[in-house]
Amino acid sequence: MPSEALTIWRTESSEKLDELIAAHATVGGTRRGRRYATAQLNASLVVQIAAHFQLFCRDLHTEAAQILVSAAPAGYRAMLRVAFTNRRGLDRGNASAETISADFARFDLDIWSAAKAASSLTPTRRMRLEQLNTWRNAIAHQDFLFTTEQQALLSGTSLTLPWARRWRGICIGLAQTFDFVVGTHVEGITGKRTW
Amino acid sequence: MASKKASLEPGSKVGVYHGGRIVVAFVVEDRGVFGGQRIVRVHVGDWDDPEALEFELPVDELEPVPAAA
Repeated sequence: MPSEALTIWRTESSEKLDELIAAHATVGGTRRGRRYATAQLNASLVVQIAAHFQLFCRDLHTEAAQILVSAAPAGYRAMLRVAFTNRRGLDRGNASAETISADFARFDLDIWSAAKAASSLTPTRRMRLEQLNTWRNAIAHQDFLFTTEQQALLSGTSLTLPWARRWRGICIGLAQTFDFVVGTHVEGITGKRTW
Repeated sequence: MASKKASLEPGSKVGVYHGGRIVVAFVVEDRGVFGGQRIVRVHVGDWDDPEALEFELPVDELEPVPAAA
């Protein structure tokens, strides 16, 4: 059984992203107006993919924190709630590799190392996630003047539907891997498999 | 205390146990149900304080607003 976080990602979030893709298909024709409309939809889709993946990571963190706190002796719980969830990076910023790493480290978990051990695709997915977040920031701030480093990261990518689908795919893969490694880590602490 | 339903509204004033006493907090967000519990995110203290504590706890653990608040 998956976590609540993964269930939400696979249902509510997936449905909302599907609606945007469906809207893409309804914008017909080959005129200039269509190209503008599809460009706006592509940008919206990239922002929404990043936002829903951030929500998944937040939800997974919340769920793990709840399970771990509940398993602790009563006198520790109030302290642990603050230690685990006070001002998380995921509550305020993108689900960047660094933010994910820092927030899950509160559980004494090196999530990227665990994810790499669980799936050899993780390093590539991590790089694709950074591409997604870089494009997301450019769209949100309407600033497409990339640094040399960002240009190298984004080389070969574009704000098109095929790339949006690819970034969504890597988020699906990362979500499944994170769900597994966090569930395994929580089990290692509590002695009980919750998901 | 106010009903649990009312306390879920963002901006609602609630009490939370922190630092060995019940302190005033504000509901920031209803996070949904995780681990069998409805979870809310609360902001402790002055709403305008950007350094104030913000953390999550189950709705069932919210306390009445302290009388002095």
